[in-house]
Amino acid sequence: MAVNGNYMVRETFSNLTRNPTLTLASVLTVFVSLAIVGTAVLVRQGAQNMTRRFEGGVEFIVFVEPDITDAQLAQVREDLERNPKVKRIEYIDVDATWADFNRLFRNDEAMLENVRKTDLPTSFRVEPTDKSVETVQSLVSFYRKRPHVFDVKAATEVIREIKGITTFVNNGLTVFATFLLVASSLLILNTIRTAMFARRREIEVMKLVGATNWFIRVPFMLEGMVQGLIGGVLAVGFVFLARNWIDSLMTSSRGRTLLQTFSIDSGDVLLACLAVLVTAVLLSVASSVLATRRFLDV
Amino acid sequence: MIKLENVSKVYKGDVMALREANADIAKGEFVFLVGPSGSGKSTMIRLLNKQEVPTTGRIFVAGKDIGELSAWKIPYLRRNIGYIFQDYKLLANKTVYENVAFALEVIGRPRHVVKSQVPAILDLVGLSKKHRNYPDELSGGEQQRVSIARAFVNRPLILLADEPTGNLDPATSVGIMRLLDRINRTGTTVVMATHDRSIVDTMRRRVIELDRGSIIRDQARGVYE
Repeated sequence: MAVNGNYMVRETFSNLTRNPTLTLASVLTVFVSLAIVGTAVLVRQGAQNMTRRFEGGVEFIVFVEPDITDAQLAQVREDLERNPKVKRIEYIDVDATWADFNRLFRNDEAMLENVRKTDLPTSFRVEPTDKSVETVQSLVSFYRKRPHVFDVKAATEVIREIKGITTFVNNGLTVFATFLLVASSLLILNTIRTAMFARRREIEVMKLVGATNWFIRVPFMLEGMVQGLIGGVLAVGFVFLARNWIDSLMTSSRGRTLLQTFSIDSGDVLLACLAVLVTAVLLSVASSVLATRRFLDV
Repeated sequence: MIKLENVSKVYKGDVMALREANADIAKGEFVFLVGPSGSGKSTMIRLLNKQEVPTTGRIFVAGKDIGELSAWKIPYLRRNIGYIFQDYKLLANKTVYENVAFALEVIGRPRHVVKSQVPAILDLVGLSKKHRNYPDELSGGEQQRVSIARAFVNRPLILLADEPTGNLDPATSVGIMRLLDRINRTGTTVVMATHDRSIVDTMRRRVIELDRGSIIRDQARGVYE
């Protein structure tokens, strides 16, 4: 195959430019659908970051005093573990707390400069057996008054609501993106089919002089993959734009502390880009393989 | 070189295109397949390079049962079998040179081979001066010469021709037959389906006559009827 790489490149390029409107249509559809996929991933990650502390059934967080001794800490832990209304607790130590703090206030230089690691109170995340509002409220007020407890924060109604909304938005985006992904696969498939139909005489001659099926296929498959990848790269660009846009929106909403915790870090952007590119490759390979599979009967 | 053993071909709807055909064609032979339209000439030719698969019977090419050839090996069989069509099947967007070079490029021949082989074969078919022309700038006879050049450029063992003179006037046909004869003299086995009585009668080569799918005559140095 490598013997004639030149031929492959030439053919792929001429396939792509032969029907520019169809090629453009495929690339744009891939771009739009993958941009939605990328955005959905960003929103999901952001929402997850915001509500991470309250995941897995955690309903309230008991912060202990920052200068607590080990013995006192053990006392608080025992206090929680003994309570029959508490199902499960998880201790968040100094390092984890510091990491969380850095993530939540990464847009707030003043906070980052003035707070030291040792200033931060460590905490217990608590999952109660009964998650009704009354039980949680009574547990919260009970633990607020216990010794060595600095503060108790409950998952507010707002957080629950936001969780619900982001889930809803995400599901919507996912459904929408799925339809668009199917549409773009079909468009790529159709573009390749059209290209092959336009060149059926050439393909017939190639088969009769003994060109292998792979030799005939590869330029068409490359055509599909190039379309998918161009769409994917454009979508990656869009993911970066979306991240900036979300960031500036969040910064301008300073004061609404809840929204501020809707943060997207570089890892999330990377994840979104990866998701976009992997989808682009899978989508274009699948449609290329499908498109070139059934022309072999000469 | 080519051997048919009880080969039958039934198309959809019970059309019996070939019935229990037996033939043995030696290396370097020149064989005419004659008979009226629908007698099975084209089917027989298409069976030889596995464009069609026989319903029953076995076909040997160069000693190998091509029925046992797996799909991915068919291209390699075809590299040894040149094929000429009645309607030339040249690519309109390529020049004479490119049409011939195409046949070598798509089977992965390196560029220096293409560069030396194509001019040589164009010289053989007498089209060196027109290598930059496009097919629609050529006469029918010239187009068929390009198609012969394309079929022969890879020096196949066998050349199959399905009514190569079907679209040409008698004088032009003679030229094409001279060319095929020359190719045959290099040792290439030629199997040619034809309707052209005068060609068969002039050449006096082996004739296999088909009628409604059956071989009714197989005669050395034969005539059309």
